[in-house]
Amino acid sequence: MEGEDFIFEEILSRLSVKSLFRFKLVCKNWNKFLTYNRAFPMHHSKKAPNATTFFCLNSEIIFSQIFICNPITNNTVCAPSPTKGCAIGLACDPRNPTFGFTLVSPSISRVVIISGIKVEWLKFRVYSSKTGEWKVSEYDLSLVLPDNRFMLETFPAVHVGKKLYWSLIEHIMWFDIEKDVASLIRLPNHYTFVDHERKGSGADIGECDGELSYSGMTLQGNIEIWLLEDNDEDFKWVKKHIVWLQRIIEENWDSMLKMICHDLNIKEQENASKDLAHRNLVKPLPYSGGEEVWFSMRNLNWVIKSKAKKGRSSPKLVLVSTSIKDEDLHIVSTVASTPSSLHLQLQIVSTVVSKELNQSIDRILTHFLLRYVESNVFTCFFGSNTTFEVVLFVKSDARKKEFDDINAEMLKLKIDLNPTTIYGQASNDVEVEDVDDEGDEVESLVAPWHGPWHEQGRALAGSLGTSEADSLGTSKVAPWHEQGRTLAGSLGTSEADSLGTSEVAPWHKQGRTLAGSLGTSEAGSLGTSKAAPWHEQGRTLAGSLGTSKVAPWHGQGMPWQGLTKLDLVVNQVKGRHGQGSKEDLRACLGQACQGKAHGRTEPRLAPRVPRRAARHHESDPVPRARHFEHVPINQEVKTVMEPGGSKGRKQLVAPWHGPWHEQGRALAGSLGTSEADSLGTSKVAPWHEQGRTLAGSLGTSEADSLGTSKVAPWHEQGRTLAGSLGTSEAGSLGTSKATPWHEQGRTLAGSLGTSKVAPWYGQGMPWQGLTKSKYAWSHFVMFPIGAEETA
Amino acid sequence: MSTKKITLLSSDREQFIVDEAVAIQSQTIKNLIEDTVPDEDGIPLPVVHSRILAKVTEYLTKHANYKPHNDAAKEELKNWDVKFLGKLDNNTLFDLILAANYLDIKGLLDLTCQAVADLMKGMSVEEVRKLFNIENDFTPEEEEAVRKENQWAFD
Repeated sequence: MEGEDFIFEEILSRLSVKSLFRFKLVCKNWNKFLTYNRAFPMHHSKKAPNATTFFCLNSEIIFSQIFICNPITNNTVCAPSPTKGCAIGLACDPRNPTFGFTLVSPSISRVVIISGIKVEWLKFRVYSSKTGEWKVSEYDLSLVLPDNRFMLETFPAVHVGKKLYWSLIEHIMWFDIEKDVASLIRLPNHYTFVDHERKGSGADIGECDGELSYSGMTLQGNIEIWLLEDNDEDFKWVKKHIVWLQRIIEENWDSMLKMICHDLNIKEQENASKDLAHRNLVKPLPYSGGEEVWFSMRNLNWVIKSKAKKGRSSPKLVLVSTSIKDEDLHIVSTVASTPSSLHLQLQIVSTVVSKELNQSIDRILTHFLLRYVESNVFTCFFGSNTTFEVVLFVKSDARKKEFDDINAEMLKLKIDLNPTTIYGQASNDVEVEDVDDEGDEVESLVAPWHGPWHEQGRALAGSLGTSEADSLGTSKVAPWHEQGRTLAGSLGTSEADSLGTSEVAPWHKQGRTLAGSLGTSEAGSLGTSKAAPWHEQGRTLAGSLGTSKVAPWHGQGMPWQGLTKLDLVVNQVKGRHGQGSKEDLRACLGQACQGKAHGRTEPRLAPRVPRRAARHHESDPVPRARHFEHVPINQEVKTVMEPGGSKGRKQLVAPWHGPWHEQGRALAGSLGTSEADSLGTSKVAPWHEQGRTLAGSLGTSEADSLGTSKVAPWHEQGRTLAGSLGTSEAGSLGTSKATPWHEQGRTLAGSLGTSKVAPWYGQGMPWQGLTKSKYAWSHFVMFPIGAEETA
Repeated sequence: MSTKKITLLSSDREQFIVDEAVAIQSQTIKNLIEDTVPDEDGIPLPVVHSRILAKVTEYLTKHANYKPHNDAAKEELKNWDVKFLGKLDNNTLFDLILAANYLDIKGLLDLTCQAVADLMKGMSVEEVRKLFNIENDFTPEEEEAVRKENQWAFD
C-alpha cells in the first residue's frame, strides 16, 4: 500500500545510517529497499540532516554525493556529484569567513581522431556551494595527449590560489575558478622524469607557499621538487630541491635500506636508485614546503622522509611507519592545502571487506596519499563502503616539534559523515532527469571504464538481482597477471526470473574486461556474455545495459567517474569502402529510438538490419580504411537515409570513449522496437586494422525479444562492441560474445535492460553512479566487416 | 477567531466535536470541509477508529490552542509531546502514524515517526522484526552474507 510505504520511508529516514545498514538484516524487502532504492538516500538526507546519505557510499549504491569533510572539526558537508566528470577538484579558502567551496569536475566530452592523433575535448563542470548547482563551464579545452582520463582519475586536483591543478602526462592542467578559463602547462624537463614514460605514478603535485609544487622522480633516480611561479598566467618553473636518492641509499644502506631494498629485490647498492626509479617503485609525495621531502616506496609499509636542503639533501632518513596493518584501505582525496602552522598528513583507512586487496601492501601505498592539510581546510573525499578512519600525523611547525616515527602525534578520528550542513538543493539534483515519454530523448550511460591503468589490476565480479521472484546470477572472473582489471557483472531486475551468466577470461597484460548482462523485464530475462582474453592493451567490455547504472570502480584512490550521460550520441559512419561512398551509408544500419516526437515511422525489427548489412558486405570483401566522425553529445539526432529503405534512421554511438591507441572503430548494431517479436542476430567479423566493431541488437517489444550478437576477434587496433538490449514485457534473451583480440582494442558486448551494475569492492574507493536511463535503448550501427552470414 | 464547531465521525461512528481551528490542522479534514457537504452526523473518517481519533483530537487541540511564542513555551509544548507519546503503546503509535498520514497532519506524523525511529535505534534486528511483525525470510547463509557486507554497522 502506498501510504504504508510512505510511512515506512518516513520512519526509516529518521534513523541513523548505521542503524539502517544494520536493519538490512531484518528481511529481504528491507534489504532490497535499503540497498537499491535510489530515491531513499535523498529522502533520508533531507529528513535526517545529521545522518546523511552515507548510503551512497555503499558499494551497491551508486555514488551520488560528494562529502567535503574537515577531519579536524569533523564537519562534513555534502554536494551532489556531477552527472559527468572523471575527477573532482575542490577549491576552498578556509580563511574566508563565509566558508564556501567550489568543485570542479573535468570530463572528456568528445574524442576525435584526426589523422591518427587522438584529440580529447575536456569540459569542466563547476559546482558552487553558493548556488548548490553544477554548471558546465563554457570553456573547452582540447587535449592532444594520451591517457588523460587515467591521470585525472588517479590524481587529485590541487588548489592553489584561484586555480585548480591537475597532473597530466608531461603537463599540468589548470582551471581558473574565477575566470572560468583552463589551460595546460608543460612540466619542466619533462623528459627527465619517470612520469614521462610511466604515466604519472612517479610524481605528484602539491601546494607550497602559494605556489604549485611538483615532485617527480627522475630517470636518474633523484627526486626533484619544482615550484611553479604564476604571475598572471605567466608561468615559470623553479627548481627547489633535488633529493639524491642514491646517496640516501648508500648512506643508509646498512640500516634500514638494505632491508627495504632486499624486499624490493634490489641486491646491489650501486644504481639502486635508478633501479627503483625505472621500476617505478618510488613515489614522491606532494611537497608542501619545509625541509622535508616525503616519498613512499612501493611494497613497503613505509613512508620515507628525507631532509632536503636547497640544492642538496641531507641523507638522514626518517622512516615513518604507517599504521595500516591488515586493514584495507583507502582513500581518498583531494586536499586543498594551504601552508599553515599545523600540518597534517592525512590518511583515510577503512576496513573494506575484500581480502583480495590485502595481497599486497603495494596497493595500500599506492592509495596512501599523504597530504598536508591545514587545520581549517576541508578535504574532499569520496567514500568507500564502510566507516572511515582517519589517521592523522600531526606536526606543528609553530612548536617546532620534531616529527619522526616515535614522536609523531597520532590522532585517530572517526568520521561519521555527519554533515552539519547540507546545502540547499544539493541532494535533489542528483537524479538524472527523466527521459520523456516519447523516448525521443535518450539518456545513455557510459561505463566509466576509460583510460589506461598501469598496474594493480582489479577484478570485479558482481551479480545483482532484484526481482520479485528469483534471480540468479553467476559471474566469474578469471585471474589475470598483470595490469588490468576485470569486471564481470550480471544484473537482473525483473518481476519474474532473471538469469545472467557472464564470464571473463583472463588476459595477460594491460586490459580490462567487463562482461555484464543486464535485463529488466516483466517476465524473464536471460543474458549471457562472455569476454575472451586478449593479450595486450585493450579492453573488453561486455555488458548489457538498459536503464542502468554502471558502477565505477575505485582504483587508485581516486575519484571515480560518473558515467557519462549522453543525451543522444549520434554517430555517422562513413566510408566503409572508401571515403564518402554511398554504400557506406548502407553500412550504417540500425536505428531504434521510438521517434514518436520526431514523427518517425515504425522502427524496424532488429534482426533485419544486421542481416542485410552482412549480405551487403559480402559483395565487397575488401576491407578498407574507414572514416569515422564523432558528433558531439547533445547534438540533435541526425537522420541518415538508407538508400533502399528510405526510412529515417537515428544512429547513436555508444559512448565508450575511453582511450585506445589507434584509430578506428566499427560499430554494428541492430535495434528493434516492435509490437510483436523481434529477433536479432548480428555478427561482426574480424578486421585487421583500424576499426572498431560494435554489434548490438536491441529489442523493445511487447512480446519477446531475442538477440544474439557475436564479435569476432581482430588483431590490431580496434574495439568491438557487441550488445544486445532487451526491454520487453515478456521475455528477453540476449547472448553476446566478444572474442579475444591481440593488441590494442577493446571489446564491448552488451545487452541492456534496466539495470544496475554492481560495483565492486576493490580498493575501497568511490564508485560512481551510473546514470539512469529510463528506456532501454541503444543505437548500434552495423558495420559488417568480414561478410558474415547470419543464421 | 472562529468558534465554529466541526463534528468528526470515527470509523465506529463515534462523534468528536472540535473547534474548526483545531480540525483544519488536518489538511485532509480541511479539504473535506471545503469540498464536501457534511454528513448529518459529521465528517466521516472511515479509516480512523475512535480510540485513535481521541488521541488525534487531543494532539490537535493542544497544538491549536498553544501557539508558542518563546522558547519556554516551545519547550513546554515539546514536553507535552513527549508525555503524549509516553502514554502510547506500540500498536497505538502505529495506528496514530497511519491516522496522521491519512489526515495529513504533518506535526503529528513527524512526532510519531520520530518516536518509532527512536524506538528502533536501540533495537536489535530481531526486536525490529518483532516490532514490525516481520518474518525473517533470509536463509542463514544469506543472513550471514548480508551481515558480513555490512559488518561495520554491527560493531
